[in-house]
Amino acid sequence: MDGFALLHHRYSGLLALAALLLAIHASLLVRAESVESLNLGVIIWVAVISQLRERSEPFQLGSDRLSSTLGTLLITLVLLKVPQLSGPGVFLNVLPLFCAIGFALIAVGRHQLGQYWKELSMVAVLAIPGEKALSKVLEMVMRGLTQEDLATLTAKFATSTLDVLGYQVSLQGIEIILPNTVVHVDEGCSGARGMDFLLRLAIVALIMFSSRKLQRVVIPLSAIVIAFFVNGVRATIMAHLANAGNMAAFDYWHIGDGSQIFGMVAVLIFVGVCYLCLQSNNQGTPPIGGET
Amino acid sequence: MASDKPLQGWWRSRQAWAGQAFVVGNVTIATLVLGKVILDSTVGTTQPFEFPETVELDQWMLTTSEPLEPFTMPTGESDHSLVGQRYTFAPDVVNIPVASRADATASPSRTDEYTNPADDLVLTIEIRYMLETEGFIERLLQVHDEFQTTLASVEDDADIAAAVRYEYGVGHYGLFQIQDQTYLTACINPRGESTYSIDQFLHNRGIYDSNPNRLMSVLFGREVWQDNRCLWTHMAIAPTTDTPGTPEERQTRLEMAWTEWYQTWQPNFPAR
Repeated sequence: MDGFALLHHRYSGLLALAALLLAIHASLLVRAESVESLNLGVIIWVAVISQLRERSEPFQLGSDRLSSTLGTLLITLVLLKVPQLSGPGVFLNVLPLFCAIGFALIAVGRHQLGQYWKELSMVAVLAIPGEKALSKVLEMVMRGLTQEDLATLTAKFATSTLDVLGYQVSLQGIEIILPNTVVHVDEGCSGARGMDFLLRLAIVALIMFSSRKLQRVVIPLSAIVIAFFVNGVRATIMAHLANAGNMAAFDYWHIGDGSQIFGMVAVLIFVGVCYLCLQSNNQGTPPIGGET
Repeated sequence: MASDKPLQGWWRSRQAWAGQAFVVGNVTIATLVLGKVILDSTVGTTQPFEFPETVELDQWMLTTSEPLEPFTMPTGESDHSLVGQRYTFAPDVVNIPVASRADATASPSRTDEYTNPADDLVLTIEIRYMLETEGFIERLLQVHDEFQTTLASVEDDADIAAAVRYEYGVGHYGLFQIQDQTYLTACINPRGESTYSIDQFLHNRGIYDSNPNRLMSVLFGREVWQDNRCLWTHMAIAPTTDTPGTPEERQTRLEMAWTEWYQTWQPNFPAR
């Protein structure tokens, strides 16, 4: 019995299980070929792991039989369905959450589950279905208030920027009319995806760092504003390139590698804003976990 | 009381083993699943649908088969197709009795062929895998160049006959007689009979798509709930000589070909 040191050591078994579950999720994300979900997955798992590492109280590993059974059932049911998966979908969204809850049940048991609400809610951010779930909600609110959607606003922003830069430009709905071309700001170019990405990051940041009331407003709001402005700048550059007839550059920034760069810039600006905004929390108050 | 201690120890180690068994069991399953995911490259991906090079149609012989360009609506509607195929057929004269039966089965030699005037026909079938569509065929036809060219060549509107017909077990289809061209056009639906109008298409979506049995497939990304896809089939039959049969004959042959086409494709509707 004592010969199976690796098996007997409960901790290493749990670590192996966690690593395997992560690897399954990661390989499915790679398969789905959705850069944004893969990025979000990596960011959230890194956040969860660092959150666990920074816990001030020690882990109390050990579970009861009911919790272990429930956890095993949950993980097994989800994993057995994995080979049937084809393409991204709701299942791929909720898989990490089910695995995380199952894993927590096996590792610490149902009575301690509440202590890990931060980690579990971060994983739950991944489970919000759809690539534009959050920005769609925002767009619905906006439509109710101003009867304008993101594409119209983006077109307006790009038109006025081009106007300031000295172009002969006019706007008809979502069509930017330039001397040499007409640019149609499609729904896909409205930046809804990028906005959704930043909003999810904002939720993670708010869960991770104990935040004050003002920050709870400022951080999501800055996510919206940054996503909108970066995408507006992108639309402006696109319109300029189309007008100049530089289709190679247009394609590079529109669908090529260049299109990823804008997303990265938005994330970097947002991380910077979050850093500045949350910096004050670390001064004077005890680190993560304390009530502020 | 003295025996309590070893019993407790035994009990505790049993419990530890039970806990260990859970972990080991989960690790085993996770390892197997990860192996499956890594080794089977189809897990988690959508396989793009492709039309076959050849199709068979009773009484017709495939002459050419070519992929169609991706189709989009210049007017901005979401209907589009990434794949499509155009098949052309000539009447199959092998089915007409030939002198030597053994000869015909051994090699479909065409030396004994004879044609009757009504067989100087060419059947063209275009099939497109339409996505994000509402099955509004008349709107699709408005941007179908070949069809519009034929329509534009008509001087007198009296030369155009159009009808929406229904065949039990197949569904609705549009039938056009424009000068000497006969067209049949319809949407083969993922579930339900074929449709010609928006209403018929949405009726099918309402009836068949909201089946709770589909819930699991939808959750696993294998199907979408509101299944707005269709196999848009656009068939044309045209005479190749000056002595064609009657339009009615051609229409009948077209409808026969359609029924068979439908029965081939509906059960083979793309999985997603």
